[in-house]
Amino acid sequence: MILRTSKRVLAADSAAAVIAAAGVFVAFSLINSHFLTRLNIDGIIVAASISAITGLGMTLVIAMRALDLSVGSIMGLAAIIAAHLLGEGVPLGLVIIAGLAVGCGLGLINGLLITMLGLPSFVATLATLSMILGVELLITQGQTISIHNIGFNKLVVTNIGGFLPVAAVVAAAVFAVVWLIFHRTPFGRHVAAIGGDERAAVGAGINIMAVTIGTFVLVGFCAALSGLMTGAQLQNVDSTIGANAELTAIAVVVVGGTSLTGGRGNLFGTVCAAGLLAAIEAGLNVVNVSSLYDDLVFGGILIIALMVDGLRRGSRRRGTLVT
Amino acid sequence: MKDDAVQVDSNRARLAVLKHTIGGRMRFPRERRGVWILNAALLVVLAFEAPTFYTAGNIETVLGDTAILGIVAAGMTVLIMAGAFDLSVTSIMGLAPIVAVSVAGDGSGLSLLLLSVLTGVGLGVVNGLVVTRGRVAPFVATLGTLFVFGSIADIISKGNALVVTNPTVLRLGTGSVGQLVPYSFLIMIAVFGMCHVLLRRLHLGRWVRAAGSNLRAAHVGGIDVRWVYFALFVISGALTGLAGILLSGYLSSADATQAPNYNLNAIAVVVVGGTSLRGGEGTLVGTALAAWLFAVVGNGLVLLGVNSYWQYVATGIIVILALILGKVGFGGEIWPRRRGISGGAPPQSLDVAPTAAAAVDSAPSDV
Amino acid sequence: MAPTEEDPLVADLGVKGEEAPGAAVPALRASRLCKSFDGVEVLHGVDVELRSGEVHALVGENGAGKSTLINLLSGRLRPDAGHVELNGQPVEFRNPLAARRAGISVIAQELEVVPTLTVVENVFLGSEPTKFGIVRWRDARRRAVNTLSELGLDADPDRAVGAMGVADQQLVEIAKAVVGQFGVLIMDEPTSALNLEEVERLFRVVRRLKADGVAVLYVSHRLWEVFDLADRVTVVRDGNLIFTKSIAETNIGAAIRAMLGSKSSLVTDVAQVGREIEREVAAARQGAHRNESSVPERSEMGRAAPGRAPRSGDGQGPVSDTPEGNKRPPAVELEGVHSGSLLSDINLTVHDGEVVGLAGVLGSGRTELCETMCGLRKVDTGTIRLRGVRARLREPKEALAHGVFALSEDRKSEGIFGHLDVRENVVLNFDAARGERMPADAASNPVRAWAGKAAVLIRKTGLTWVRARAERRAFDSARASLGIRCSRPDERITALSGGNQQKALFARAALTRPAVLVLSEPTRGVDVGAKEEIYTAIDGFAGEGIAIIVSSAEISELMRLAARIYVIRNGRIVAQVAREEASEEQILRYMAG
Repeated sequence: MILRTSKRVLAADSAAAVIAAAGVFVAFSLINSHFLTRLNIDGIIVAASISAITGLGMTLVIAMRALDLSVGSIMGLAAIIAAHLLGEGVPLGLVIIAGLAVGCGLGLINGLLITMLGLPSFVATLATLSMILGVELLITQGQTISIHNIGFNKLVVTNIGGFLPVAAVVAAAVFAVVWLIFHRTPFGRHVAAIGGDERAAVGAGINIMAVTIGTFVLVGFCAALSGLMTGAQLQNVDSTIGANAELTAIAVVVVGGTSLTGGRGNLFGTVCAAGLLAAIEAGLNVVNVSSLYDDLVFGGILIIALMVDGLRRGSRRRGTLVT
Repeated sequence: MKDDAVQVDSNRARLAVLKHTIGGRMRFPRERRGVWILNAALLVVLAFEAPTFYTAGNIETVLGDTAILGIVAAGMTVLIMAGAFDLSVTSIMGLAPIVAVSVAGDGSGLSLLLLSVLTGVGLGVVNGLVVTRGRVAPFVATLGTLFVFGSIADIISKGNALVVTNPTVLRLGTGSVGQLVPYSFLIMIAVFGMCHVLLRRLHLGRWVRAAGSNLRAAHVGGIDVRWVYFALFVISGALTGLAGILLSGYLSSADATQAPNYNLNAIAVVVVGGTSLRGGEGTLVGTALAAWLFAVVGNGLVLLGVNSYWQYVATGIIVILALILGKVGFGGEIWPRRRGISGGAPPQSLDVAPTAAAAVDSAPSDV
Repeated sequence: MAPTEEDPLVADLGVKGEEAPGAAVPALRASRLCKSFDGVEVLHGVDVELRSGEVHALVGENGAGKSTLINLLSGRLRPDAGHVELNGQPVEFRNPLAARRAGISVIAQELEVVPTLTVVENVFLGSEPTKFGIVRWRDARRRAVNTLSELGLDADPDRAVGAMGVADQQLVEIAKAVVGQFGVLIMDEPTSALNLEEVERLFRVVRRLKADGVAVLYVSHRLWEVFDLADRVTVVRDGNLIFTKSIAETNIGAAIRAMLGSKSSLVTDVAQVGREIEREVAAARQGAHRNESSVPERSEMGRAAPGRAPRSGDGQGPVSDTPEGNKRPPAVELEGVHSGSLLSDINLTVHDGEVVGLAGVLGSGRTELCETMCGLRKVDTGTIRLRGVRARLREPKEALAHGVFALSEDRKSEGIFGHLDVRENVVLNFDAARGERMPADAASNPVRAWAGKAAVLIRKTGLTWVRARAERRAFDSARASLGIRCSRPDERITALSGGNQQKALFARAALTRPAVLVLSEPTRGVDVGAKEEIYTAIDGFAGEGIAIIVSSAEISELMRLAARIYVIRNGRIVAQVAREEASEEQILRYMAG
């Protein structure tokens, strides 16, 4: 099975991401040895874990041929609510549960808007993006909330066994669970079926509504989890948390090899792409390139990765379809 | 030709002639109903709750708010009708004026305007090339250029806001005719007029709609689809560059992030206005009305003394309401669960990938 | 009808069997079904009865109500009146899932497989075997492989279905029904995309299912298949049941007459058509069998047409319909054309005013050859000459610029624009095509040449005014001459019938004033009446001097239209036959080898 998986990974459209990630690591390590310090690598791993978690949820959404533009806002709101509750003295365990519940609830709302009202997912989540952002601002009134709960922070950044941040363990767990759901449960296969050919899915008796709602709840959960982890890491929370995170998440999924037309999802590719993004940011930082260049590099990689992909597909395809 | 009309009831004949002579067809199709209703409702509410809305100065502000988003949304409407997206407008709105000010900050107003528009054109060319030559789907391509352009804007401006001092630009951005109709609004009207001509009177417009309706058929039918997309991205870039410099004139500064979330806002405006994300058909009138609607909401909230943060919530609600209103009644189904039973084919409510993206990936692979 | 082979596998496929045919309770009985759409009644009290272990065919023209009936039986639609009984029990299906659970499976014309999922995932879609919520893929894989091999397909269960051919995908879908336990199978035009071998394979499968006791409803317009496979046949016309008889009691001619009703006068000799169809079938089956022992037959081919050895086309053949005055270079000439692995050494000529046919089974390269002529497929080596001038057709727009207009076989995905109205669909290339032609004195007058080129360039950008009045006039005249039936010019083209849509595309062709027309399956999905009108239109085009290439799977159509027919097999032209001197059996034999 490992052989089959690795064959699939390399043959898959995400070969680009995997190779690029590896390449970047090597390149930066060679340029500046500081790249390979414990601190830096830890930072990369934490950042990558956080964006990977949202990315994994988004991968399922995109495999279903939909989009969730509200993940950024969900991240922010979860973080803000958590910070708020911690400030009120609510125990940490409850706070985490509350934050995750918020994510699930918002995901449920998204799912209902899409299934009950028949709104395209793009539009529905665009609307909720705005509404949730408004709620965030109303709660914070534009101010920053500080978290003083050290336990919360430790939960994310502590190293286990001296080398692995907790965040990575969490991300790995999420990856395992999402992978299991996507490939080994009927629900997961139905997600892919809906994205691949909705008519066929309907014909096969799949409950589109239930699967849709389930998917959006799942991605809401992931977004909330990412938000909580971000809040824990930064210790200062405001409404800018998660701003533009949805676009970054989509980019990560796409670079990871999942196609926007749906029907399949490359979870491992998403994780690699998240790692790639984090590595680039950290690497540029280490070589003292202004952080203003981060987006440039990532955008460039996104475009190049897809161009390469397009060329590869183009050579296989007959006919001269244009774009 | 006329013989056909003779058979028909004379009223219908007159109506038909009227339709043709007016040119563009002003209709009230289901999709636009949402904007009309919401606009009407809001205007009525404001008349009672915040009559200061109806002062010249306030109307001027609202028109100004409408204008800039409207210009961007016009270009976006045409793109969406062709089955594409431009997510990079946010960054172009920042980058174009920044380039203009950096290069010709002390120059004439005309040169600033031209530079901003030309920068927009150049950025549109990049978008167009990535999509047509690089064979990357528009959604993803412009996602990438969003990052790239935004980064370049940050780099050039070093993260600061550049000051705009040119009086012409400032006047264009803030001034108005008769203290009522802002120059930017007039420019918006002109832009919409040109887009209307493009869509309904030029061949390119027909190609746009054909490509949005059935990309493969358009290609097979001999339409140069690559050129169509390229041209549209250039047009969108130009319009965004124009909007950007106008915004800078209004704010008296050029800042990389001066138009946050404009890409999603513009798309929201287009969708609320009644244009389908799937392409092939669309309404410029709807887009204009929707831009006006959003401006009214923002302004109205302030007048009503509501915390301005509610604006975000209101925006979301408006989007949802407008779409619901566009679906209800006369065969539209609000509860699409009843697939198949009613005999009508329901739309794919989850489908979000624009047709261009679909066209890239869904062609059968050679076996 | 017994299965055609000594299958050791009349084995149980795990299908829920019913009693032998003739048992008292029919598997599925529908009585007096009525259905209306938007106030228009499309089904007027139709009865259908499906018996276990029997293949029941449903035939009728397009628009006769077949699809509606299928949708009613499968739970996609609910009847306005009438009722359905499954095994004697009245049932009402609220949705397709309920029907499927009750044991009614439908193989639609547009296959319902998810191309991005694997074979095993598709076979078990919606009915995945699970334990504690986790799918048991190993188990599923085994069962899928077994079922598929019993159906005649050896497939890798982990292969993506999208990578398979249509015929194999169809078997995957049948396998999906099989593992789901069903008693009734409804198949809607299952053979429209299959070649002869695959059709035979499908028939074997259907016969096996029949032997297992499944009740099969076979909907097809291919009467020869129906009369080959079915036990009983029902004819519907205009939403009415015309008759239900056992196959032995009727024949193709009677069926055609029943399908067409008063329109049967359009088909000059129904009996003749029926006989031709039967001959076609016999020849095809002979050809298919010969495939298995092909050696002795090849030498026969050389002697096939006395005095007329098959050639791979040379353009100078003594074809009787070549217009006099061969001094003009041929409108289209392909010489030594190779394209990928699909086309080799194609030589083909068409003269002005000539109609040339292209015959070949699916996968023979017929479609690909048309694609090279209209700019959709790259030519690797060899030349294409138009009016004697060498042309590189890299894209459809270049082909159009050279005056080559192509009508695709799939008008829904490659022809019509659903969001545009009829007139816009028709006038699409009206101006553009005109724009490519140089003004007459371009060669002699450099200024005019330059102006011509500039004008062409401007037209290419599309920033030119649409000439509404000229378009309206052109549309009206085209509509009249082709007989397109639409209520208003700005009606949505999707509201038109298949025949009228196709005519609209012909109108589009006509308005570009082409020099060459490449027609792929020009009457696909078109009812008989419109078919004749289209044939007349094609004759008309030829009369105007347009060179026409018709590619079709229906030999009778080629014989009706073309003076010369090229036969293509495995990517090569294997024969060129003149209409008078050839027969359908011959052509079929060339096609099948």
